Amino acid sequence: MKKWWTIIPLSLLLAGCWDQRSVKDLNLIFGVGIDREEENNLTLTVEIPQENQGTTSGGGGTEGATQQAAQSLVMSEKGQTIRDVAFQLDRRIDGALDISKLSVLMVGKESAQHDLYALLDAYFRNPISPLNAKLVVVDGRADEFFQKDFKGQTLYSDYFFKLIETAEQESAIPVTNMQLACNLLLDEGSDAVIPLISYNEEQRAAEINGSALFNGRSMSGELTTEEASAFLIMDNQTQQELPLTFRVKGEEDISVTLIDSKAKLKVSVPKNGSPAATVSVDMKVQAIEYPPQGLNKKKVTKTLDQQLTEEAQKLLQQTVQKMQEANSDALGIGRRIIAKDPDTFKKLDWGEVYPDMDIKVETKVKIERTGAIF
Amino acid sequence: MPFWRQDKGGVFKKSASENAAAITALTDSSDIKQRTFSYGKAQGILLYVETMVEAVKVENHVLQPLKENGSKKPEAALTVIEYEEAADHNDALRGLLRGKTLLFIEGNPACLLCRTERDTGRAIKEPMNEKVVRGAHDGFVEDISVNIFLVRKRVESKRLTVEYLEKGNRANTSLAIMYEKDIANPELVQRIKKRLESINAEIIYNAGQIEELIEDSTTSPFPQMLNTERPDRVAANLLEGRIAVFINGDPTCLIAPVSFFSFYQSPDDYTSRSLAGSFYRMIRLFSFFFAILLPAFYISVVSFHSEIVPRDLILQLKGSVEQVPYPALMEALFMELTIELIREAGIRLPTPIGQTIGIVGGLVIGDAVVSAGLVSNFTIIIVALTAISSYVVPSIEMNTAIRLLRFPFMVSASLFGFFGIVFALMILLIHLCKLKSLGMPYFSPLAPLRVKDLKDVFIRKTWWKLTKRPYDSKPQTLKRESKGRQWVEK
Repeated sequence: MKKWWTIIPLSLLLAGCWDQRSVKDLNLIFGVGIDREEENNLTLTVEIPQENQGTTSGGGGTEGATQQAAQSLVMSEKGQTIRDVAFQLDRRIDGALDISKLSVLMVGKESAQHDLYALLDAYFRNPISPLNAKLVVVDGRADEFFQKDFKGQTLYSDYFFKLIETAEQESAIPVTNMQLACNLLLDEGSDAVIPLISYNEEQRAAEINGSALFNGRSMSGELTTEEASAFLIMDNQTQQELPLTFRVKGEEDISVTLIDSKAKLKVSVPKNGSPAATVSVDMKVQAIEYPPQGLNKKKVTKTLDQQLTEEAQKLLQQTVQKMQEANSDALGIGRRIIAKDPDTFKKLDWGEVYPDMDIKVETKVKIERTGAIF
Repeated sequence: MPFWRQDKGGVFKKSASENAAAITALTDSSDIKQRTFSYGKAQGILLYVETMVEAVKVENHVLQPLKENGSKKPEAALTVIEYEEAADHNDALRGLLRGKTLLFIEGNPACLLCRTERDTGRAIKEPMNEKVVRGAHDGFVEDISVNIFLVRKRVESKRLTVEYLEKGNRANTSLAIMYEKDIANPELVQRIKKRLESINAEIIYNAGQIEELIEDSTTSPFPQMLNTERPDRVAANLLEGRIAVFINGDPTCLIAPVSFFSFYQSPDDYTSRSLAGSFYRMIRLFSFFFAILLPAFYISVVSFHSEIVPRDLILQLKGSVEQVPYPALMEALFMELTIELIREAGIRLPTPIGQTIGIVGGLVIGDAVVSAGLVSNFTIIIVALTAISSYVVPSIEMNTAIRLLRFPFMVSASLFGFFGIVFALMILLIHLCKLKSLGMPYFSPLAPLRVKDLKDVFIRKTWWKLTKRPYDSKPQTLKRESKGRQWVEK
């Protein structure tokens, strides 16, 4: 009977139940779209997949029912801050909104042009928000994008996520997520490159449409997918595949894929004078399509190598030019200068210097493999 | 105190009938028979318990030779394998109750105990709960001498020592301690003897009772002595310097000291190839974590950490959990207890019905309980996996230990999620490190760490690499008398 006091420490154990977040009480958000509105307001769009109720209606029917695609519920609301809108939405939706399984975060293009970081602050502050969610800029408005009809797709964010992942594998866009983008958005020495997605009205499909260049926290320019690939080559960020197609000798087309590439960035900061940079790229490619054939002949490959080098040089130079025009130091030249000579960097007005600085591109392309035939 | 130690027994007199009457006066049972016969000129009396002796033995080896050789001394005439002279009445009575035949000769103030016990026992069969695929298929029986025989037949060592003890103040049960005299640590032998001597019970029912009376910690969930019915296992352990205890009337042999990992070793590891043996041993050790952590893991994922579920799975999980009205702990507890019910019912029921119960319990309840929305189908998967992994352990003792252990883990997971699991694991680890088996560290060779002994813990190295005995039993000689693969030319 004297042991009644053990109830006190035992009841302390129940304190853990305060933190319980049962999965059945959560309303998981898979996709988020953010748009800026006038007067510093914003619109938040959330996509909540609706799991099929009664998936296990009977022993036999279990399998068929779970195979059904989940439907999503898309909701938008206006408010002052992200959290403000989230609370407003929460009042309308059963169960607590939970962003721990967020897969895609979309921001309208116009909104991204005015301080993207400000829109994401709520997510970085929240410890349960997934930092590996994909961050994309939408051509147009994000809330409209979620309302669009995508042929045969019911779970939009899942579809976008896979679309982005495949594009990343093919080196059409850089591999980014919330965490990686956050670092670059706040870095004074380098800038972020974030995928750009658009809606193809004809095909009723989402489309990866190059990448958005950022200057500091705001979007300042765009790269096409080819240019984005070129940027990835220069930044040594290429993934499994990188297909490129060039027109050579006037009318012949050749498609190549990158086997291996090495890019070197050399930055020189003279004592008196403006800094200069050289990007030298050494690419080894495989011909994956070349109808005229004859790649076993040295003469042919030599001229092809030369022509490919010229074409690639053009593409890389064009990319660098665009990045400079957008004042987006995506290659991280500024970071090199900070590392090399921090005092000089402090004196420089990097935003002014970068667009006009001399960035040379040296390219070398060599066909190493020709596939199963010559 | 047994009766023969309580008081001094009476002394034998010259009259055979008087002596016989003195013995029968001490016990009255209708199966005690007396046979009078003429031995030369004198009269002889045989006294025996009818139900304990083999009638043929009494006839052929006691009665007949005595009748035919009336002139010889009785000791010379008897053809039984063993006889002895009783010291007093109590001694004679004790022999009588053990199935010996008492022989009194008129004019001789002595009593001869002739060995005529009936030896009927179960046939030697493979133990049901320790089956192996390859290797020896014999198992211990209830008769202690047969069991010792089975081990002796394997270890033909001159140093193999057997020491008998009699315990059970009323029932007088034989125990035997067996060890290799020049390997087993004498201190440990003394320790186990001291503990066995101290037993003061009316009767020794089984090995479990002995175990409980002599083990280091009775409150621990972990068994501290290895229970086995396999002679090959005993033989292997004896040569590692461990001590075996046999109990008459129980086919289970107790082995001490043992480590936690001994319970995960199976004779199958050694009969199969080293690679396969290592693989299956690792599977078994992995099953330990699976069996105690899986329900807890599920509970904490569902109620605390849903974010670790992959994106493609979470909707299914949510859909399946959503229709269940109870918290995850209740769900899991309900199913775990159902499984335990089915198991318990399966043991008690006769084999044909047992299978039916298994099907009814496993399939019908499992399916219906999900359709009824009482339990999610993820829980069914988890509980089934847990049940299977808990039965992977070769030792039934360890099996019960881990089946019990998962309940505190489930509770702590439901209170604190992963943090709770880690907390409970820490307590478990501390307990394992602190636990002792016959005074020797239970978690050896991990705590205290002895890297050399890890050869036969998570993996089984090839036979010829295992040249040293494990250190946890502190053997007198560490080096084994074996050298492998001498034929390999260097």
